[in-house]
This record gives sequence, structure tokens and C-alpha cells, in this order.
Amino acid sequence: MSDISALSHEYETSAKLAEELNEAILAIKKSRFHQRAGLTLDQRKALASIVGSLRQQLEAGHGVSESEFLPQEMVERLCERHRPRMAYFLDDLSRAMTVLENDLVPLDDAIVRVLDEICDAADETASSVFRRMRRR
Amino acid sequence: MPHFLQPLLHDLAERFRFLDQEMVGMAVPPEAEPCRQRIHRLVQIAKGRIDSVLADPDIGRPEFAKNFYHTYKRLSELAQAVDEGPLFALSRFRDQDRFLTKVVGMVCQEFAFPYPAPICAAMSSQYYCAMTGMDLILVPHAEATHLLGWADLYHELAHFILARNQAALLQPLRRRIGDHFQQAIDDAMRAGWTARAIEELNAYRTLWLGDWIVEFACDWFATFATGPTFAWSNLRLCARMSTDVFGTARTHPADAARTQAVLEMLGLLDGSSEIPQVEGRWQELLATIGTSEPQYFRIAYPQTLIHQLAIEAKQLFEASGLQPYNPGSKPIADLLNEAWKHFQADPSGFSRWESEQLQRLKKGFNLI
Repeated sequence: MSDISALSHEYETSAKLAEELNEAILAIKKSRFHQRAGLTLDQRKALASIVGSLRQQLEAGHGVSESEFLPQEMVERLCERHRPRMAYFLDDLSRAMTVLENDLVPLDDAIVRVLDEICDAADETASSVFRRMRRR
Repeated sequence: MPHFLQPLLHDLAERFRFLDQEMVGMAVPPEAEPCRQRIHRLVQIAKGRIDSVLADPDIGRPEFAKNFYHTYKRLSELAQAVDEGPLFALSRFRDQDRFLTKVVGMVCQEFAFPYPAPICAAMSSQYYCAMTGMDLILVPHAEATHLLGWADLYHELAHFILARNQAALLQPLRRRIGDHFQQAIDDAMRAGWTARAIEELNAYRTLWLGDWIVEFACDWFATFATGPTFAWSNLRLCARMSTDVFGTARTHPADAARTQAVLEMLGLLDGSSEIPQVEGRWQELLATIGTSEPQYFRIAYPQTLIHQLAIEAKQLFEASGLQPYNPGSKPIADLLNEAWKHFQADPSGFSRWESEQLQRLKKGFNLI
């Protein structure tokens, strides 16, 4: 009824996503740094699905993703950041998605950069919703 | 000198140790004990996470600093949410909170709430609100002794269900919304609408896909589970709190659209015979305020979309095992419907009847 319930729901969704992304990216970075096994194929596919949903939500007029609906605020943050060169960003997302879906292809710096950026947007969104719940 | 994050992690670890001790030492009534245990478990897991981050040999490496920082932020938010939410409520848990928690527990049983029932505390300054991650519902102080707003408890409980089961309950509704607005935008482009008008359609789509569908779905669920009482309760809330019944906010759709949505769901249930009465009162409210539907309203809130979504929401609730309102089978929902009937038949004598019912309920819970 009050804004708190809507924000609480929004926070739960965005914090969960931010945590999932952060854990996955930390595992990727550690595996690259220590040259050891990283994400399993299932984990890579789950990450690819998030990237795919983001791509679909960023592309105006492509309807709603079959898999996951990402918090609007996070999508808007990325949209704002990449507005002048959205086509390139969408290409980066497509490439990240294709590579993540195939566990024989290693994850390179460009993909980690894209994932880092998505992770930042998810983190900012969770923090911002948390603050709004407290009107700070 | 350690990275700036390390002392902060120690500070947070200390905070979680404090929360842990508070939760361990807290004596709460039996109906709040499952919640205390769940939140305590959450605190213990978080404490373990911080310890493992502090013990991570990579903690000082700049390559990972940002990710450890994100972990710190989420855990820090959790500590604050526990402190301000369940710990605050449980450490001041009074008789009226106990009563309301028992009511919420019974409501949850009636419609087959698929999770452990949250606790409910009468200490809100924000009307009814749910803290979905914290198993907590807050209501204003007076609600423990007044029945007419209790249908809103069902709306709040729906927030828990939707937040935890988005794929099954929200995603199909979002797909329908996406398809609807895509079609509307395609039609508008073919019809030569201005770029600004098409941009508006896009903006409505975004709002619908964000918070609006969550609020609509919570209203649909509350109507599905309580019948006409939620429609009456919604009308009362609109009368009490609306500044502009056709105005919209990012987090909430217009009250007029929500009222229409509630009536759509009611039309799919046994309580549909009360629709004309609710509609009549709604029109009286509009006439009293002296407002009328603005031109953009049906573009923002298409009637066919609301109708189709209400049908789909009902099917999704049923498929998820949630129980609809059936008069005579759900004591709390029946009581709330009875309450509205009594209130309308005898508004001035209602409080006596209400207080008798509350006494009866408390007696049934062994609270007096």
C-alpha cells in the first residue's frame, strides 16, 4: 500500500541480482587471475541469460524476455550511460552472451569489462532503492 | 596499511556479532519465534560471509576490490535492515503485535500462503507496508483494534508471494503487457501519431512493466483472496488518502485504474453481486471530488488490457495453489466481509459490533 512495500520488493529483486552478478564475476576474475577453473556451464548459462534479458530490455520494441525481467532502474542506468553508442553496447552484450553460452571459449578482458559494468549498474540500483526506502 | 575496506569489514563483522547476540538472547512469544529463528539464521549466514571475505587471501588485491566492496554493501544493507526491521519490532513486541501476528498467521493458512507467515507489528508510520526480505508487515497502531482496513494485509502478503515467485506469477503478466503495448505502438505508428505521443506510450509500457504490474497484481490477489471486502477497503483508502484519483506515480498506478482492476477481478469471483454498489460509491466519490477522467487515461490504462490481465492473474494464482475466497470457508475473510456489511448497514453502531468480534477473535487465539 505504501511506497515502502513497492520499494522493498524492488530492493529484494535488485539486491539479489546484484549479489548473483557480483559472485559470478568475482569467480570469473579469480579463475583468470589464479588460472584455475571458473564457472560451471550452468553458471555461465545463467549469466548469459541475464545478459540476454538485459539486451532484450535495452532494445526498444522487442517485448519482454522469456527468462527474467531485470529491474527497470538498472536497465535505465545502462541505457543512459550508453545512449550515444547503444548499437555498440548491444553488440558487446550479444558477444558476451554467445561466449558465456559456450564453455570452450575463454572469457576475455572485453567480456569481463561488460559484465563489470552490468554488475556496477545492479549495485547502484540496489543501493539507490535501499536509500529511497529510508528517504536519505 | 590495509585497503580501506578491511577496517570497514571488521566493523561490519562486529555489527553482525551484536545482531547475533541480540537475536540469541531475545525471548519472544511462540507465534514470533519462527520469524526470530529465520532472521537469526540470516544474521549467522551473513556473519559467516564476512568472516570468509576477511579470510580471503585476495582481499587486498586491487583487481577484486570493487567486488569485495559490493559484497560489503549488500551485507551492510542487510545488517541495517535487520536492525531497523525485525530486531526493532521483536524487541518491542507487544500484545497487539502478537494478536495481529496470529491474525496474519490464520490468514496465511486460509489462502495457503506458500511460505512461513511473516510477523505483523502495529508500529508503522507509513500505513500498511511489507518488508519482504525481513518477514515483516507493519501497520499503524490503531489497526489492531479496527477491522475495516485488514483486507490490506492480503495486499501486503501478496508482495511476499510476488517477490519470491516472479517467474511464475509476474513474468507471464509482463509478457502480456509487453505484447499489448507493442501492438499499440505499431498501430499508433501506422496511424501517424506524433513522435511525442508514441514516446508516451513507451513510457506507459515502462511504468507498467516496472512497479505498476506489481501493485495491480497485489490488488488482484487481495481481491481474489477476500472478495468484496478488498473493493470496499480500497474505496475507503482512496477516499482517505487520494490527492488525485487519476494521477499516477512511478511506484503506484492511479487509484482510479486500481479500482477498475479490483472490480475486474471481483467480476471473476462469487462476490460480483456487490460490484454495482461499489461502482455506485466510487461514482459518488468522483462527483464529490469534482473530477473526471482525463483524456490520456485510457491510453495509460487500457480497459481491455486490465480485463485480460485480471483473468490471467486469477489463473496464475490458482495454478500456484493459492486459494480464492469462498464465502463460508475462510473465517477471517468471512469476518472482514461481514464487517463491511455491518458497517454499511449501521455505520454509527458498527464499533460495538467490531469490538465484540475482536474480543471473540482474541478469545479464540487464547489471548484473553
